[in-house]
Amino acid sequence: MKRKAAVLGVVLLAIILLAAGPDVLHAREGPVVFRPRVVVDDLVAYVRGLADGSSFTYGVWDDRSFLPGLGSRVLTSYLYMVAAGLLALLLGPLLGIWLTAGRHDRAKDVVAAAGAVPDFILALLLQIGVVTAYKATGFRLAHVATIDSDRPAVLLPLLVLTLVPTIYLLRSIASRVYQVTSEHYILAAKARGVGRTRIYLTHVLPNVTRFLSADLPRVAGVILANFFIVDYLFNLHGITTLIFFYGMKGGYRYSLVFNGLLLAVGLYLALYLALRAFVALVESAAVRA
Amino acid sequence: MRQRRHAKPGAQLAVGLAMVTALLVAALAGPSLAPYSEAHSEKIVVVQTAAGPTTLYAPQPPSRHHLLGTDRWGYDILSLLLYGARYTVFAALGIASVRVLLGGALGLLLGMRRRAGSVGETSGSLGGIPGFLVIYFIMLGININSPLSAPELAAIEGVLIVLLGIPAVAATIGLKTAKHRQSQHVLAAVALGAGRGRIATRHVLPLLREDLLLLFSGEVVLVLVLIGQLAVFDLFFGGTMQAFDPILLTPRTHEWAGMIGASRTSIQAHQWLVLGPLGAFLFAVLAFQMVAGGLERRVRAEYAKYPVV
Repeated sequence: MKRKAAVLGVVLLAIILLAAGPDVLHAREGPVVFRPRVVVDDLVAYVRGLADGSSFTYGVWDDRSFLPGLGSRVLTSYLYMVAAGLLALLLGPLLGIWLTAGRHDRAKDVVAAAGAVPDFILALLLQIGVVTAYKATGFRLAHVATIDSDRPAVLLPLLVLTLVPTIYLLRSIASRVYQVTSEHYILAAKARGVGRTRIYLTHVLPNVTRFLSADLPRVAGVILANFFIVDYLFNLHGITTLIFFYGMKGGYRYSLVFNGLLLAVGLYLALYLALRAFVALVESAAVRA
Repeated sequence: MRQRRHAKPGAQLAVGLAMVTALLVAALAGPSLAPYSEAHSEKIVVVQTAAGPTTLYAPQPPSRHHLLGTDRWGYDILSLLLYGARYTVFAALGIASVRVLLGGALGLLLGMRRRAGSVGETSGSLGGIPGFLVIYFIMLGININSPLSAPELAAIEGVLIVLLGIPAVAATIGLKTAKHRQSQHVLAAVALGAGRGRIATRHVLPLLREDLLLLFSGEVVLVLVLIGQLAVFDLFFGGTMQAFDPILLTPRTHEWAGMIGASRTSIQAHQWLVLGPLGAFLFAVLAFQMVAGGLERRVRAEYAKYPVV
């Protein structure tokens, strides 16, 4: 509990420092200035703004509230992230065990190559691929970006969002399987004549899935980082444009970025809890079966 | 026990090294290899065709004269890529080496002390914060229409990327060091009275050589991806130039990730604007990924135990 509070404190401090960054170090009036004191000034102004509501507005010339539409931004972000997380939790371990158990060397090389392609490159390549296919055949495979709420891009963003954590989990699980299957107790089981399937079910699997819950904070982090990129490139109307776009358009708005980063932390926690609940559910079902 | 089949041991490493060599050649000799000079632009060209003189406007699609086409201002994309190779390749190599050097030294130091877990834990709790977010908010204020020069901005961003990566490298090397310290030959050396410094440099460091090489090629990939992710958000390595009315963000150097970021909206029309830089960047990432994968395979083949089922 103490540790959790400490981590949360560090994250909050990181947000305070990061959001103040462009006010502390900037060159807006010509020469480069560095004023660490502004961290405190910004925070004080934000806290004061909470009372009169000005901390919930953005816009440089007119003060627009950032609350309308916020619910849909948060919900959209959350749905994409949870969908990607659950898919990755289903696919990653299965593929990881299948690849290691079955010795599919060629498939492993394909996975390594796919895992090497950075998320933003993959997103752009998929978009270009769909556009090229459309130009050649007149058939649209998927939306390359969200145009409005009736025509959201789902397939491509979800593909990119799922692929990265899936490959992360797959690698992590595959290396555990590799490690576990090299142990002496596996050799002992083999010597006693235990079948391969049984060795995998009773000796390998329980020793591998234990590590899954330890991987979850990392997985949630990977998904969040990816979501920023995917949200931006596919124009998903999630929370990313609050942090990266509206915040800097025509001047820097501290309160907007600060709120956006807080939302991101909230989403991260909610995502982590959902993933953990899912793993716990599967585990208890496996115990009963 | 069935011997594990390895798809031509060393082939992956060899291909990777060949690709890295090509990158180094492009970075070192890029400007002299470039078909056009950096300043050569063909905004409007009149060419003689069978039907008489025809006017061509930039951007021009790939052709015999411009293998990868020209950009919106008529510059030859292949030439720009060759001029920009220095920034991309040397930045990634330089930042990764400093990361491994400093992180490795710190890791060795921590690993030689009692427990190596402490570094891993503190960096672990902050591991959830995406790296590009940190760099983005520190650089944002000074990167756009900056009074600083491109090399100055590149140096500042480089130092930030180094600092961001040191904890992870130190944690990895710290764990390995702590593990090696428990091995028989080190315990024997300790029993014979070897001091901590001698153990670190003579007994542990030689064992870490492969790990450090592997870590280095992995770090190059991480640095490239980080620079690329920042470029997606228009924070270009070496500076962003912003024009107003209409708002147009362009990279100051011809660094490859920057060229991708600046042209990423051209996925519908003029696709060649983004395809050339995208191909070059992907080539660089895959080159170092192949080297890392090949090294990993070799290390594993030499030292690891094999699965028995």
